[in-house]
Amino acid sequence: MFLYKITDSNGITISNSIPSDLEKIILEYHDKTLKITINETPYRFCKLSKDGNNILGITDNVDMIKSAKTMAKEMSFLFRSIESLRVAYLMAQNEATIHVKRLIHNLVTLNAHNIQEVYSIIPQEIMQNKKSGWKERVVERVNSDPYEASLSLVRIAKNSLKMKTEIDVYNTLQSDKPEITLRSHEIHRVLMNVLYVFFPDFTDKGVKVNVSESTIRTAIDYETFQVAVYHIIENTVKYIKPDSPLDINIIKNSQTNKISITFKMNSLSIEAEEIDKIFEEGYSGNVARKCQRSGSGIGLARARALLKYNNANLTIEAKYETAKISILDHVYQDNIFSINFH
Amino acid sequence: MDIEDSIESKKSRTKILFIDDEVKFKVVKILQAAGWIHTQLIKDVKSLDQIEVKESKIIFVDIQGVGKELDFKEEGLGLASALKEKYPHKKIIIYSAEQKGDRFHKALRQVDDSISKDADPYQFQSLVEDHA
Repeated sequence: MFLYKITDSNGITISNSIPSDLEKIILEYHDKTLKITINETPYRFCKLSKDGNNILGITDNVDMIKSAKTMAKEMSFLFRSIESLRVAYLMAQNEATIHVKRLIHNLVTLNAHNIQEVYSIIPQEIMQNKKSGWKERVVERVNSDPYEASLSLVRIAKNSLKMKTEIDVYNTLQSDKPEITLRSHEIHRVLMNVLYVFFPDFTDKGVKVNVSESTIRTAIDYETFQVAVYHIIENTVKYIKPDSPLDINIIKNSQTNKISITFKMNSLSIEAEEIDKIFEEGYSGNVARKCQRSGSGIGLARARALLKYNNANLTIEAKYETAKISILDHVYQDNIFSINFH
Repeated sequence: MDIEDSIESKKSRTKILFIDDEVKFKVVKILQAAGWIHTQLIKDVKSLDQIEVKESKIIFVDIQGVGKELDFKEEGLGLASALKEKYPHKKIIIYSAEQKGDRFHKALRQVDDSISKDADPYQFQSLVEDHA
């Protein structure tokens, strides 16, 4: 074992594999190098400095315990690596900062939307009136346009779900695998919980959503599955042809017992060579980009990754033979997205 | 009484423009409901001479997602600077979901004010009253 901690001339720890309790023991000694015993095991530690950079090392290697010179020679190599380690550290820090900034930016935007949904129905001024009767004033405002009030509530619910997707993206950058708890859920119910928040968007676009009745259940992690379905539905809303139907079916194969959820729609054409690419992060389809409707390109990649943790895959069947030029010269075709459980 | 009258008359004549690619940004509706009836939103600016820009006294510019039609490298910040240079008498206010950083500070020197996207309606209204 050979553990070390490197602190550069700016006092920044750019690399450290020494556990803090072990470091505490070493720092109690003022010696530059010493043979010590911890829990009946012999070690040697060594403290080196050069050009303001400090390296602390500890080892149970027999040769290095025997000879301080040997240990110092091994550690001096690390001084040559400091610059590249510093660069790697700064790059990692920079990347982490970018991810945090993006998360905060997106959460602030969603928070802004929610704030405005609330106050567009019940202005802040209503509560400023010192006279009692705030309940009556609030009720009066809601009753003056109950449809708008209910739409606001649905939009707030959507923004809340969208916040989960943002936090999911951030969490994956910390560690690839999310916390998964598989529990039996009725698929129809879970789908409806996500579709709920999109009904205003579907109504705006004249899209009729048909979900087949089903009591089929399967084991999923509710949180990650919801986020995955959110991305699929968000993608659907963006690219589905206005005034067309979205047919969602939950099917169990009678022979294999395998369950599938299919999303059948008429939506923006996906070119043949793009089918796999649209699952790549950052990629948006050519037609989508030409129609200026592409987003960050992250949604389907996340959906696929999250569905994997739920023992399912995500596929697209693009029916090119149905492609037709439609409104504003956009090309629409029948596309079927499928979630297939293993 | 005088101050209130003055604000009321400002509300009925001040034209306010939001430049934001998020067309459903509800703060426009909130300001209209508060009496700033001449508040409107456009997705982006095709020309610095376009009528909505020319007519408006106060222009809110989102720092992201706008300034693309005129090909500004720094998007909204570039657009905000250009608007202030062309119309020094107009009030240009930048708003964003970005936390304050270097970029924000540079543009702050050029424009009239800034506000966070998730500010509440009272803050938007105060800002408009200050600059109207």
